[in-house]
Amino acid sequence: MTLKYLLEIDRNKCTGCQACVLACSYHHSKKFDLTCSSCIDILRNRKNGNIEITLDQACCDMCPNEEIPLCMQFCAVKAINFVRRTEKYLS
Amino acid sequence: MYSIAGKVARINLSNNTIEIEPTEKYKKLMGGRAVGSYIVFNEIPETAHPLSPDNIITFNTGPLTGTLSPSAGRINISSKNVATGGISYANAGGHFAPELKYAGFDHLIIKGKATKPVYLYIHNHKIQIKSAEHLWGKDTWETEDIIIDELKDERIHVASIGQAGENLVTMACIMFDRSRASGWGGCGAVMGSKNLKAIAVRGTDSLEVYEPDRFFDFNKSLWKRFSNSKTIQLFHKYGNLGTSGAGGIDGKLAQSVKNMEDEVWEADKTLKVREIIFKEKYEVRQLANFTCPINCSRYYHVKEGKFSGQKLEALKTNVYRAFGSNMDIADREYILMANEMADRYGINCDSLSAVIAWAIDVYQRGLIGKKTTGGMDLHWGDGELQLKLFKLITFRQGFGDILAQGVYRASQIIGKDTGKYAMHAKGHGMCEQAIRSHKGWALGIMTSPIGGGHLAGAPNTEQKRISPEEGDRLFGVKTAGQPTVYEGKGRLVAWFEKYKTIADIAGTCIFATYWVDISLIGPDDFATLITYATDEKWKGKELLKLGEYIYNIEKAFNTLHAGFTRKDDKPPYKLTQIPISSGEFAGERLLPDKWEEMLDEYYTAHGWDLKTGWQTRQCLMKLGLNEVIERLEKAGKFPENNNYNKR
Repeated sequence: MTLKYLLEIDRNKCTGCQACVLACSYHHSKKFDLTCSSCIDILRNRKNGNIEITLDQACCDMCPNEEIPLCMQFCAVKAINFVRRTEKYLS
Repeated sequence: MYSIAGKVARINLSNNTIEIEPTEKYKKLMGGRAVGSYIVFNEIPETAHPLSPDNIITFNTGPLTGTLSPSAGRINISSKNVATGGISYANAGGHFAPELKYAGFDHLIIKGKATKPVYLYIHNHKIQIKSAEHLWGKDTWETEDIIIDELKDERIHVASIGQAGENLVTMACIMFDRSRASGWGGCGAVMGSKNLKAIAVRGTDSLEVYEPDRFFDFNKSLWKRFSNSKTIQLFHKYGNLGTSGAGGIDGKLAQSVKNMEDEVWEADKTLKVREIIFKEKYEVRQLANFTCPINCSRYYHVKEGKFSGQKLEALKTNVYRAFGSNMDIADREYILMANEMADRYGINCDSLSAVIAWAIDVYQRGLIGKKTTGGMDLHWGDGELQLKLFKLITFRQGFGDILAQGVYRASQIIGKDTGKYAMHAKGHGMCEQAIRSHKGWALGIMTSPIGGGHLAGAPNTEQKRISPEEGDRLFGVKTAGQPTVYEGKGRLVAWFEKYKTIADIAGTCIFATYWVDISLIGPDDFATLITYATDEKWKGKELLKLGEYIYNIEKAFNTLHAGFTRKDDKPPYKLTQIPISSGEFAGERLLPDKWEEMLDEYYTAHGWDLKTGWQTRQCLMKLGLNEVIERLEKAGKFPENNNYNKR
């Protein structure tokens, strides 16, 4: 079944701490892993402070057993939010 | 073993050998600073000069590093201290420590000296010693850029030294990820003395904990505590700069002013450089260290003025204090440029400020003249002069060559009563605020085994003004929240020394602990985290015991290597004789008689000797430190040997 919502990470709010990446990897593998088992990838640009974020929507299952996805629970600055799938595509 | 990478690398740069040993060998020490201090205690000869090949420098991660535990991304660096001759440990944030674990190593132990400049490249269980001849002479930002370009991997994390480390400047530090400093003890000069320019790490391993579900659930609850903490909410809003040590949000809190002459800065100056103004003018975004819910860091773009175009991660309270109030410079642009230069040259801002401010101070008092300074007129509030001295020190030119030896040695070289104005602890330069009024804070700084700094035993309970009930419940000290009271502070500092050692062992930033907010990670929380992460069961009390064990190893290192005694735990002249001029704590200074009483209470709390300040056999036997007893016995450094006046 296609999920009604997607997750979106606000790259301006993100502090680059990688907690969401580890939370996602734990959900998928019970390990802490920045590389393989997470749907999120974060790379900090050393020269201008910008943060590049990749969120693999195909891999994200929204953590079905959790009240809200784990990445959101471990984001201290609330940079991760739900967006309606249709709105996302319309925008 | 769980929650570790599993390997320790011993690297000898004199003969290019790398030996690997299992991390399990150090299991009883857990990790971090405990492993670092244990290695340097056992393996550095007492005759070794800090800048000789015999000195050892260690890089240590903790059991919580690389997991989702809050703010657990610190890297510990231990060695023999260039400024004091005693022990040195320091730690830095950034993302280097977890990357080292993901690359397969928990600890690096480095000794010897390479014949030519080298850097280490650590990549998924492999270590290469590579030429750094093309990097020698470059600053830390250039070094990092070149290494990342030549290794073609944007995800590499780099620890490097700048020109200050290469030129063996006493205050040189190691920079991680461009802007995270491991400041204390001249560890950058130790790297420089080994011709070791940098360490680059990259790893793609994962980490497993012993009880993943319980560990994860407990961390969930901890992260909620952080989001509910009022202190952390202030950090989010005002950053490191706005919350402490820089006048606070309203500019009324203590600062270090003009070589720590006073703790109140004129309001018009403070208001020009308040956090809110940096935020409005320069802030682009907030940044955080690895898995850190505090995000105390900020990224600034300077778009106009003298240094237009500047882009950097800044501005820590220490840096503001060092290059702002302690130099009487109320100019944002010069403060930010000094921040960048400290990062690039790789130099510790506290001890750099201590020596420059001292030079201005003694010049203004007429104790030195233009003949000594090489024709320079030294005065307060001059941003250009500060940057000029900064360069002269880094490149050891002219008067800068004397200053490069640190405030204590510089004052010994110049003589003429200038030592009275040298702000140092055990020979290491310092730049602190609230040190006259907050007695426990002062005691923790002066007794710190690494030569000052507020990250050893200095409690934050006085700044937080915790209630007598809380003080009694948590520390057994009802006066813990009363700044100007001396009684109880000896016991309080002894408690915080053990507790803050646990954070350094676990790999956790001190900002994530009781130190800033008693709702955050306490001893029992550390025990829960470590029990779930590793296959070892711990209780909070046992962790405090481990903290005490390590603290006693460090203390013994100082007795053996530097000959420190009770007299080295005393504050410098200015703090006992020149009171605070105005404000809430007007008239406060450190009263010598009360200080001695506080020291007695502190030594008693540790079970140390009151006359000498040294450890006793009984205290060490209780901790099971038989190897320390043997070493002190051999050196005749027990109180009954009655030779404490001999160095």
